[in-house]
Order: sequence, then structure tokens, then C-alpha cells
Amino acid sequence: MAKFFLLVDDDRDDAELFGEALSTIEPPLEFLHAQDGIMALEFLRNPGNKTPDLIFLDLNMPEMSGWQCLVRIKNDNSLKNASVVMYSTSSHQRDKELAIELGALGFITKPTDYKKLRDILKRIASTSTLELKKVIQEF
Amino acid sequence: MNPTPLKVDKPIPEFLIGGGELGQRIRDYDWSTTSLGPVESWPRSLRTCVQIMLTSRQPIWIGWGKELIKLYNDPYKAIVGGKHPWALGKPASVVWKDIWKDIDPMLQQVMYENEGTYVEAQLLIMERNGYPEETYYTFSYTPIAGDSGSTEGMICFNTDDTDRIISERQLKTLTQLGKALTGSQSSSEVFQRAVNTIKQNPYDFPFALLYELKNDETAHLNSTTFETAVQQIPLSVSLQSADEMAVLFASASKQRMHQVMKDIQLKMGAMPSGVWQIPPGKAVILPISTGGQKESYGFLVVGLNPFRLLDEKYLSFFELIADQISTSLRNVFALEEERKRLEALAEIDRAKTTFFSNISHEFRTPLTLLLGPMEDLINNRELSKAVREKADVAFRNAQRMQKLVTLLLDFSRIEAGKMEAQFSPVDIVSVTRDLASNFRSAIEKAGMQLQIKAERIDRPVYIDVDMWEKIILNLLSNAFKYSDSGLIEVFISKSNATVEVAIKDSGIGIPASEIDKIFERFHRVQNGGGRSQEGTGIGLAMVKELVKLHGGTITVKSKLGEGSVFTIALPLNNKMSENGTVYSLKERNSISTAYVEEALQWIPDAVIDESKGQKSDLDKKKYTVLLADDNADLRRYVKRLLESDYRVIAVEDGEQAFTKAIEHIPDLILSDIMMPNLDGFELLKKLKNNLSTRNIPLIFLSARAGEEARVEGINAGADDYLTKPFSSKELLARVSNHIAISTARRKTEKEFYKLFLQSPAHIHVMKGPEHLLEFFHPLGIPFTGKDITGIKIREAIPQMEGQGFFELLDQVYKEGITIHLNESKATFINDEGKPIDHYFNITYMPYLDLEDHVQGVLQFTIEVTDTVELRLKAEEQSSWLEQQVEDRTKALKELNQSLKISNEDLQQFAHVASHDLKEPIRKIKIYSNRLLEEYQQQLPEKAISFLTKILSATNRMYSMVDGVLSYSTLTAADQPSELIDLNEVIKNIQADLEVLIQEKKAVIKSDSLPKLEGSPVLLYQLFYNLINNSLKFSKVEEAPMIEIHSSNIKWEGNPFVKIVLKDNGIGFEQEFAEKIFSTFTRLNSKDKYEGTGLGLALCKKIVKRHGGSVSASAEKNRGAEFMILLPVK
Repeated sequence: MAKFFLLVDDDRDDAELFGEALSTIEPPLEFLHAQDGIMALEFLRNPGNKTPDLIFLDLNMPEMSGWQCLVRIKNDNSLKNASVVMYSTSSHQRDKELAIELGALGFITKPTDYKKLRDILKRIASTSTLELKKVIQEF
Repeated sequence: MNPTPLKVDKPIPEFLIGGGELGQRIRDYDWSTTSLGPVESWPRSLRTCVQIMLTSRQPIWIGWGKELIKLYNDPYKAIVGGKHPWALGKPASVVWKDIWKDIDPMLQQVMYENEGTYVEAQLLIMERNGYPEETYYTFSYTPIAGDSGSTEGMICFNTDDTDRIISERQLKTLTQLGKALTGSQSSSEVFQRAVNTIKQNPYDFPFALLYELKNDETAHLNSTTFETAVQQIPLSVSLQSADEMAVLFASASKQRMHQVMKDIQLKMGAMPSGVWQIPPGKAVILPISTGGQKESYGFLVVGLNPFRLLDEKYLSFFELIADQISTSLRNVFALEEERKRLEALAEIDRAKTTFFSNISHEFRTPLTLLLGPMEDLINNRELSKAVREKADVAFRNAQRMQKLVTLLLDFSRIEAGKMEAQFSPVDIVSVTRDLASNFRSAIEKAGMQLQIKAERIDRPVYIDVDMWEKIILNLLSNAFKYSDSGLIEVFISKSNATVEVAIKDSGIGIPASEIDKIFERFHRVQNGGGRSQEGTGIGLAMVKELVKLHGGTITVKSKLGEGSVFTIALPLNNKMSENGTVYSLKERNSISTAYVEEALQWIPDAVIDESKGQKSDLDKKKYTVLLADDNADLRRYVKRLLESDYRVIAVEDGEQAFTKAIEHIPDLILSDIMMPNLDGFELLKKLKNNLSTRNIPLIFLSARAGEEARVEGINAGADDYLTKPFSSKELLARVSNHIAISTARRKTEKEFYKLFLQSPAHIHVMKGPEHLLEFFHPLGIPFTGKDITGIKIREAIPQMEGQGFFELLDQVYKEGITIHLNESKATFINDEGKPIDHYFNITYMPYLDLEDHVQGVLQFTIEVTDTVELRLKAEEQSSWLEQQVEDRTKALKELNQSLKISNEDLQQFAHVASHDLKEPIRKIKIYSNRLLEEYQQQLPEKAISFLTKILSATNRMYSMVDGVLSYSTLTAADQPSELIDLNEVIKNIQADLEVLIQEKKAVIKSDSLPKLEGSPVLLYQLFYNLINNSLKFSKVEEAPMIEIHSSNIKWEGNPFVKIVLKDNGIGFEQEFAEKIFSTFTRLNSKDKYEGTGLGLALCKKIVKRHGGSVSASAEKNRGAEFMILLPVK
């Protein structure tokens, strides 16, 4: 079954990049982009929708920040097992620790190089769910 | 015997013999009727004197007896004048009634004191000829004793000095006048000097008036010999009027003859009398003639000496005076004429040059409109060959015209002295060779040969490359033009201190009669032959001027029918040795092209066919371009060019441009410079002063060519400068470039400025050499008193002049260095007008444009007044140490408090910045990279270069932000502490730096390092920075070798670990050992070794946080050694 990633990010350019990078991976993945936390939660809570294999959560968003969204997901019984990885520009140690504390698999700093993004996504796409946490910590 | 006496019976005494007429009269006189008595009774002495008198040629008179009865001789007749003959036998007092007052005292002296008198040139107003006359006599009175021995009479010997005295006097005046008038520069000077000289002879000139005749109609009183204004002297006399004076003036002028005016006492009133007792009764009016067409220059009116007759002699004297004045005036006017003529000539010359210059300007705009579309037509493959060929003809001719226009313009610029040479040292042989080669194929196509023979010239020669090009191409073009066949040779040789470049042809040559004039402006050899008759005759004249600007000379040798040689000699050590600017390749190409094309009829493809790909980037969005130009054709043309890709708004003057700019906020503005209402520069100024239009890129389009015009435009704030005529491709390329740059820049700038506003430190951004404040942090307002955004720093806060800050800004801008000031004092005036000292830590950093030129200065400022003031105060106390500690503690507490606050602010700032700042930077990086990698094939070279530059700048920004943030976040107290294995740390660092290590073939050796308690991130950062530095600052010729040793020591009783990191790099001077740990300090120039100058500062901070210390020691070029002390807990 094809893997399905959800990206929650208000930045359209980043979403575009993400989508482009993903499209280079074989086998092809399914990809959805939500502009903010509220829309993302709506999607996730809808039982008719497929659960993403991995949710990429940006930090700086209007209305609801990434942290708030993460907390809500982890506090929601139906969602708390979802795999979430924080995905943002910050490279602060604090943030990395906070992400894990709050239940995310880890924290990936948005790469400054498109090629690197491709590599990261490729790696993640080919990793099994069990190994995910470890792999993510490497980035 | 003797003539018949009156008294017949008396014989003639011997002493009475002879004596001419007077002798006769004396003999005839009945002396018995006088006190003398009859002749026989005369005493012996009298008789002797009479005899002397009668035989003498000198005028003599004898006065005898108390009454001084007068006897005199023939020569004396002239003196006695009209009184002869009745004076004879009369008492002297009667005869000399007129001068008695003068002579009586003398006679008394003689008669009663027995003393002779002698007077020279005595003025005596004497009536000799029926009127009182100015006379001068030299005479002596000698007493004659009678028989008794006492004085009984006197004898007087006379000399009439009148003529001599008067002549001398008049000559003196004439000479003085001549001398005085020399060197007069104006007519008024002439009059003034004349009058001043005349004034010195009040004998002949009791008074004098000089009238100046203006417009042949009115005589105006110009000067007088006396001060008082006498109303009756007319100040101006109209020659048309019927006044006596006017009539006399008119006659004098017309007849060129003197006129006499009588009874001037009545007509003019009380006039001065000079030296005389009575004022003049008559005046003589003399015309000051021009000797030419005009009537007269004016009139000299002289009050006549009442004691002289206006005889011919006297009159001729006055006429001489008038003549001198007249000559002098003529000279003055001639001089003025000459001056006017020269001025007129210069004016004509200037007008000619201006005329040519204007014409050339006028030609440029229509040329643009011609060349552009022509070029498009030629390149349009859809048109038939026939059509394109015709367009080709038109195009080439337009180019030819362009060449001529440029030539004319250049020449007029040289003439006006506006062409300045910019010298650069070149290899004259290769430069000249290259230039000459442009002609090779043309020459060979015509069946001729080109040979270049050059000696080895080892020294560089200083030339202005563009001018040299014009010189060589011009000469070659001529050689080609005037040769049918044969060889054209270029010789380059060196002799003594000159380099000689000669161009020889075997063409028709120049006739000997024309050789001298060949370099003259506008000169063309008649029936010169050659391939073409065309030419303005300016070419060689311009070549000569250009060669002269190089300090060189050009000569020609030629023989009719055989050919010519033009030789340029350049001195090898001309003083002009400034570095020149390199002109764009494109410009040079087009100059050569124009020349070669004229020779051949062939179009080289000098213009690179740029790919259409560039425009596609902007196809996604529609940008707006605002165009301002008062020429309707140009507006149409440019609009048409840009319409397909942009939305174009076209206006015809600066005022409308500004209004539209505010309304639409276009993405780019194209503006002409010369426009009505508001010209280009004023428009630019207005745009810059307005917040919403400040950052819109603006490109000037102008007919004014040349580097200075371009620099002027850029300095005023324009982003680019295009000279008309410009090609359509060029315009399109520049428009799209600038819009792209501006869009990217704007976004980043906006982010930056937003963040700066949130920063607790003042960050100011200044642009340009005069430091115009692009961004002024509001925290600075309390010091400056107002928001000074948009103002140049010196204008904004002039009261800060003299404190050194402006000079530092200048230095940073000029040299591109970073300056860090610690606790620098600045004096500001507070609200009450009192000057207060503040202390700041300031960093001035240059920021660069895409071509690595300094664009402006960034200023980071933190106020540290409290700290400094406290410290200063402490230093004043007597118990220094105690007080120090006491105050330090207090200060530290206070500092802590304020630091805490600013720390927290910084933290906040850092956190936000870490995200928001990096975000746009990251985007730029990603997209630029992608462009480079994925679209490389389609991008023209220039675009690739641009992108590379953008990338490298972005990288710098990124690392700077990173560095600043790391530095500031370090103050956070909440860093986790754990036991760290340093060996692991080093291993990780090596892994991370793998690429660099491999590249440099570096070797890192380390002892077994201990475990330490500390913050893993920080310690990692510490060693990472040190190792990275050692790798960075390695020697070029040696592979870097880094050694890390550790040992345990005790310091102040506590256990420490000492870690020494040693490298073999370029090291540094030991004197900088401390300085290198300061923020933003770099010892090496940025382009040699990259770095923000924060690395080591960070290390110091980290070590300090751990309770340790770091120091460095090094020698220049012998590597560096860093010693770190960290506590072992």
C-alpha cells in the first residue's frame, strides 16, 4: 500500500517544494497538504479519511501553532497514536527536546537545500514505522 | 660829423655816440627839463653807464636821481613795449606804475642800502603791449655812485625770460600728459588722467573742463580741474540746442577748430582763476578729434590765462594737449575693439562646439528609434531575404551615422575640456595588435595585406584604452580608405623614453601643401581620392587631441602617390598612472564594429543572441513598469517592447511619473533625465523621500553618455543607467533583472526590518557614501531627538560632527572593514539643551551588493553608559581597590539586573529571529540553488553568475544570523549540564567536517581526552569552532595538521583540565592574541578567509560559562596554539 504523508504548513512555497520532492520518490506516495492546524484536525478527525503514515507539522502557523496542534492530536484518543514529526526552520536544541516530550517522533529542521529535502523524504519513505523514530533523530 | 642835434650850438658828447634810435632820442632830448639837468652837468658815472648802455646789446635801463629818471637803450624797447618813446626821461615810478609794487622794494634796497639785487625769472604782470601781460624777467639792479660817492642812480640789466619760462612750463605739461596717459585702459581713465595733469599747471589752465561727447549728440561733463560744483557750468550740452556753448561745441566739432567763448564770468559764473589774481574772461574750446568718422570724442574747455594773448603759439600748445588726449582715446578704443573682437571669436568658437554637441544629442534619440527596430527587422527570420537585405542597408547606414555622431560628440567634449582620460597600464603591443586585427579581414577581403611588426616592450604603457582604440581605429580606417592595394603596416617600437606606434600605408598619399593642415579641425584635403568621399574632417584633429591627452605627439610623413606614415610617440613615464575603469565589453564591441563596417559592408554578429528563457521566470506574474519620457516616439517604442511581458504605464514628465508611482507602486521605473516639469534627478529625489516609493528600482534612460553621467545617476540613487541608443535586448534584459532582484530583496528586507524593530539593540542601516538612513531604529530617537529615516547622517544629526563617528562611517564604507567600538563616548544634547555623555558598544559593518561593492553600513549599538559611568566614577576614588570592589559589586548587581532584562529580551528576540529570519533566507537559498542546478542549460552566463552571487550572499547572511543568534543565546542560564566524553565530541566534529578535512588533506591528532561536565551543545560548538578555524586558516602550501593535547593541572587549588589545540596554519601576530576573541574582529580580509568574526568570541563565551578560560598564542605564519582551561567538577 502506498504511503500517505500529511503536511501541515501555512507556507505555500514550502508545501510546493515538499510536494515536488515527494513526487521524485518511487514508489509514488500519496500527499496531502493542510494550510493550518484547524483544517488538519478536521481532516484527521473525519473517520472517512485515511490516517496518514506520517504527519509533518510546521511550528509557526496562524490561528494554531504547531505545538498546540501536536498537543491536541496527542490528547485526542482517536488520534494519539498517529506518527507526528515536527518540521520547522528552527534548529534549537530546546525545540528538539520539547517535540519528543510532547509525543512527536522528533524534530526535523527544514533543509536549506532542495536536494537534501529529497534525500530526507526518500529515507523516511523507505523506513519502516518501527525504525522511524530512530531515523528521524538522525536528521 | 654827427646827426643834427636839436640844440644846434652844442657838440655831441662822446658817450652819447651811437646807440641807434635811443641814442638819437637821448641826444635829442632836452634833459634840462628833468632833474637830470643838461647833459653837460651829468656826473661822470652816469655818463659812463649811459655809454655802456648805448653800446650794449642787452636791454638796459638806467634810473637816475631820486625820481629815477629813466634812460634806456634800443634792445630795451621790446620790454618797454608800447610805452616807448614816452617812457624816456620819465620817472620810473610813472613808467612802471603797473609793476611798481614789485620793483619798488628792490629799488629802495639799491638806492638806499647800496645793495645790488638780482632776480631770476620774476613774474611781472607788465603792460608791454597795451594789456597786462604775464612776463618773466631776469634782471639786476646795480647802484651807481655819483660824483659825491653816494648812490645817485641805478642801472638795470634785463633778460626777457618770458618765452623760456612759458615754453618750459608748457613742455612740462605736455610731457607729463604724455606719460600720464600711457597705459590708460578706458576712456574715463584717459579723461581723469588728463585732468589731473592739467591741474598741475594752473598758470596756463586756470580751469579746464572735459566734456565727453556721446552718441554724436550730447556732451557730458566728464571731469574738471576744480572741486566745487558750479551750477552755471552745464553738465550736459545737447549739440542741437541753440545755447552759445552748444553752438560753439558744434562748430568746434564740425570744423575741427578751436572756438572762443567770451565773457565767461557772466555766462559761467565765478570760475577759479588758477594762480592769477583775476579769473579768466575767455575760454577756449578745443575739439578732441577722433581722426576718423565720428565727430569728436569730446571737448576740452580751458579758461584762458587773462594775462596772455591767445596767439598762434599759445593756441598750438592747447591743440597739442587736445591731440594727446585724442590719441590716447583712440588707443583706448582700439584696445577695446580688439578685446571685443577676441571675445567675439571665442564666443563663436564656443557656440560652434555647443552647436555640434547639441546636434549630436538631438541625433541620438531618433537614432535609437532607428537602430532598434532595424535590428529587429534584420533578425526577423519571417521576412524575405530581399526585405532583410534592404533593412540591412538601412541599418548599416544608421550605424555609420551613429559613428559620425559619436565622433562629433567626442570631439566637442574634448574641445570643451570635458573628456578626461582614465589611464591604465597595458601591454601596448597586445592591445594595439588586438585593435588592428579587427581590420584584418576587411583589409584582406579588399585584396590588401596587414602586417603588424612589434618589438618587445617590457614595461606597461599607461593609456586610456577607449581613447587608444579610437586613435588606432581612426588611423587604420584612414589607411584603408586611402589605399587601393598593397600593404598596411603597423609598427610598434621603443626608443629611449618613448614608445612609437606607426601606421603605414601605400596609398594615395598627401600632397606636400596639405601636410601641415591635415590635423586641423574641419580640414579636408581637396579632391582627396580614396574609397569614399565621406568624412567630417574631424577624425585626425580628434586623434591629435587624444594623443595630446596622453602627453604624446603625432607626426605624418607622406609622398603623393606613394603612401603615408602616421607616427605616434608616447612618453613611457607619463605621470598619469591612475587605475582606469574597464568599459563594458559591449560598448567596445560596438565602437570597433562601427569602424569596421564602414570599411567593409559586412555585419559581424557582435550581439550575443540571448535566450528567451530568461523572461519565462516572470511569466507567472505580471509586473508593472512605469515609463517616463517626453518623447512620444520613444514612449511608443519602449511600450511596445515591454507590453508582451509587463503592464506598462507611460507618462510624459516627472510630475506625472511621481503621481502614478504613488498610485500604482510599480515594480520598476524607467525614466528619461531631461523632462519638463520635473526632471529625472528631481523625480528620483522625490521618490526616495517617500516611504512607499523609496525602494522601487529605477533605471535612467538618457542621451547623455559617458562614465561621469552614469556615475552621477547611480550616486543619485538610480539602480542602473542606459544610454540611448540602446538595443531592445539590452533594455529587456535589464528590466527583467532589476525586477527580479528587487522582488527578492524587498521580501528579505521587509523581514529583516520587522525583526530589527523588535531587537533591544539599536540596529541602523545606512546606504551610500553619504550614509542615508534606510532604516533608523526607534530606540535611537531619544538620542537624536527625532526619527531620521531617509536623511543622510550628517544632515540628520549635524550636532554630532567632530566626535569621530561620521569619519568611522566613511572609513567603513570606503575600506569595507568592520569597526568595533568598546565603550565609545558620544555626546548628545538633552531636552534642556545640556550636553550629556553616553557610552555605547558599537559595531559598524559594511554590507555589500551583488558585485561585492560596499553598498552601505550597518550599525549595531548597545548603550553601556551606566557601566562606564560607574567605572569612571570608581577610578576617581582614593581608596581605589576597596572602592573598586565595592562599586563593582554594586555595578554588577545593577548590571545583572539590566542584563537580565536585556537578556530576556534578547532571548525572545533570538527565538523569534531564529525562525523568522532564517525562513526567507532559506527560501532564497533553495530556489536559487534549484535554478542553478535544474535550469543550468537554459540560463545565460550572466544569470548564472547572478545566482551564484545571490547564493553566496545568502549563505553569508545565514551564517551571520546563526552566529549572532548563537552568541546572544549563550547568556541563557538554562543550559543542561552533563558528563561529556570529549573524545566523542572530537569524533563527531571530524565526521561533520569530513568534506573540508578531505579537501584540505588535513590530519587531526588528539590524545585521549578526559570526560568533563558541561553543556554538550556548547562544548561541541567550542571545539567545532576551533577546529574549523584551524582548517580555515591553514597555509596554502601545507596540509593542515591539528594536535590536541590534554593534561591535568591545579589552578588556585582547584582541579582543571588544560586542553591545548595546536595548528600549523597562518597564525597571527601575538599582539592580537587577545583581540581575536572580541566580537566581529577579523584579522584577515573577508575575501581571503571567510568568516563573521564571531567564532572565537563564541568560544570565549562558552569557556567562560563553564568557569574556565581560553587564551591564544601564535606567530605570524607559524601556526597558532589555543589553550583552554576547564574545571573538573
